[in-house]
Amino acid sequence: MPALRDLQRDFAAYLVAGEETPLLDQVADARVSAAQCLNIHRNNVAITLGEALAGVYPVVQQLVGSAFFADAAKKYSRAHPCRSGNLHDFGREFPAALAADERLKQLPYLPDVAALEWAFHEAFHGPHAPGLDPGRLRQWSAMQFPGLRFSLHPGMGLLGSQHPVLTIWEAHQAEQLPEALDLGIGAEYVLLTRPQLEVELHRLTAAEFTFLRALGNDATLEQATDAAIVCDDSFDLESRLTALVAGGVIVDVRE
Amino acid sequence: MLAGAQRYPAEPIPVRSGIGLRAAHYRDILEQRPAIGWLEAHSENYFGAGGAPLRYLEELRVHYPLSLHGVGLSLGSADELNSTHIKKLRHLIDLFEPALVSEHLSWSSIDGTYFNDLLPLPYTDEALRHLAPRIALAQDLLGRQLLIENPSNYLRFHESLLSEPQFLTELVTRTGCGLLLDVNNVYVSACNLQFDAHDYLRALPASAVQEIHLAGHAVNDIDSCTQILIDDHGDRVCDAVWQLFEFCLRVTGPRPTLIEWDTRIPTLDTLVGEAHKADQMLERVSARVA
Repeated sequence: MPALRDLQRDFAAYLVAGEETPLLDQVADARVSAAQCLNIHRNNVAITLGEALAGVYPVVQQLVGSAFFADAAKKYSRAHPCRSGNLHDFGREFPAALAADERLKQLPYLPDVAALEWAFHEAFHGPHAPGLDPGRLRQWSAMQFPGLRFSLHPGMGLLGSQHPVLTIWEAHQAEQLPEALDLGIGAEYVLLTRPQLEVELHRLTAAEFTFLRALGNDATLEQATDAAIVCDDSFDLESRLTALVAGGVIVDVRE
Repeated sequence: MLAGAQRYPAEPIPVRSGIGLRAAHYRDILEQRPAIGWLEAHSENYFGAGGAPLRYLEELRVHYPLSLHGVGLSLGSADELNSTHIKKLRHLIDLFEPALVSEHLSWSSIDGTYFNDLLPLPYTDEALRHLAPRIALAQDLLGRQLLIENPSNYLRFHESLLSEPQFLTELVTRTGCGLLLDVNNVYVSACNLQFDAHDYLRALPASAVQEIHLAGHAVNDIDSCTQILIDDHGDRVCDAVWQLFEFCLRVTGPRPTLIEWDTRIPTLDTLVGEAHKADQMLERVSARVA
C-alpha cells in the first residue's frame, strides 16, 4: 500500500503524461478498465485548464483556431503547471510560451496580442483605487513641479508593441470575423484602465506611452517629460497630465 | 469600494432552495430578484483584488443569504495546507459573512502543482489521519465550521477499506465538520461504482448534513453496453436524482438545497424553475414531517 503522497504523485504523473503507472494496479475495476477510470480525470483536467486559458485568451484562440489552441494549451499546461487553487492565476506565461513556439513564427504579433489579453484579465480582477484629487496638484509651486513623482493606479495595464495589437484585438471582439487587417500600420501602445466594472482600452501615442511608463518607473515629472519629448517634441505635458488625473490613472503625488 | 466594516443581516441559510451564482446571471438576479432562498458562490471566483465579481457579490449579498463553496483548497493533498489560499478565503469570509462555507472530500494538488479537478482519495486509516487534522486546522484558520462535500467517483482504490459514508462519519466525529450532501454525486458514484445509493444515504450521520446539492450530469458511452456518468453540472436534474432527493429528504429531513448548473449555463428562469421544483419537494416532505 503506497503512502498517500506516493499515490498522489503517481496519480499526478498519469494526469500529466498518461503513461503506464503503478497506479493502474491500485484502482479497482468496476465495469471499465482502470486506465479508462483514470482517463476521466485526465480529460477533466485537460478540459478545465484548456477552458481557463480559452477564457483569458479568446482572441488568440480565434487567431490560431480551436484545434491548434487546444494543442498549445495542453503543451502549456505541461510546461507551466498551474501553481494555484485559483484558476484565475493560470496562464501568465502563455504569451512567452507562444513566442517560443516555432510553429507560430508566421504570426509574429501573436505573443503581444496574448500579452494584451493577459493585461485585460489582470485589469478586470485588479484592485480598485480612487484617483488623485486634482486639487492636490495645486499644493505644489511651479518650482516644485518638475521634481514631483506620481503613483499610478495599481490595477492599470500598459503595453507597447511593434505590431498593431489593439487594432487586431478590436477587430476580434465582434461576432463576425474581421475583414483583412492592415498589419503594416505598425506599433501600437495601449493603456488599460477599469474606472468602474468594465475594462477600457486606450490607444496611446509613443510619447504618451513613454511618459506613462517613465512615471510608473518612479521617474520625476521632468524626467518623464524629457523622455516623452525625445519621442515627439510636440508632447503636451499639461493636457496629458490633466487627462491622466481626470481618468483616474494617477492616484497619488509626492515630492 | 470594499468597505471592510460592512455588516449583513446574520441570517442562516433558510431550508429552501438556492441557486449557484454565475457571472452570466448577476444583472438578471439584481433586476428580477427571483424568489429563491439563497445564493452559493464559488469562493475562488472572488479571490481577485477588485472588479465586477466582487462588486456584484456585494450588491447581491444585501438581498440574499450566501454560502461560499470552494473547489481549490485541496484538503486531501499530502502537501502542506496552502496558506495563501486560506488567507484569501478567510478574507472573503470576513467581507461577505457567508452563512455556510464548504469544500470537498478530495485533493487537487500535489508538490505544489494544481490540477483543478476534484481527485479521489483512498478511504484508508492513513488518509483519515491525514485529513482530519487538516480539516480541523482549516476550520481554526478560517474561524468557521466547514461543510465537506462527497465527490463524484469514477474509480475506487483497492486499499479503500472504509466506505465513503464511514469515512465522512469519522471526519464529522473527529473534526466537528458538517456535511454537504451532493445527491447527484451519490447517484453518479452509485452508477459508476455499482453500489446502492439508498444504503449510502442511510449510512450517513443525518444530523451532520446541513446542505444538499442537486445538479445534472452527462452520460458517456464507454462502449455499446457500458456507460459512465460524468458530473458536469451541465443539465437539468434528472428524474432519478429527483427521486433520490425525495428519499434523501426523508432520511435527513428537509435541508437547504442548491441547484448547481456550471456548464452550458441556462437562462435564469430555467435555473429558478429547477429551484422551485426542489422547493415543492422540500415543502411536501416538511408537511409530512410536521
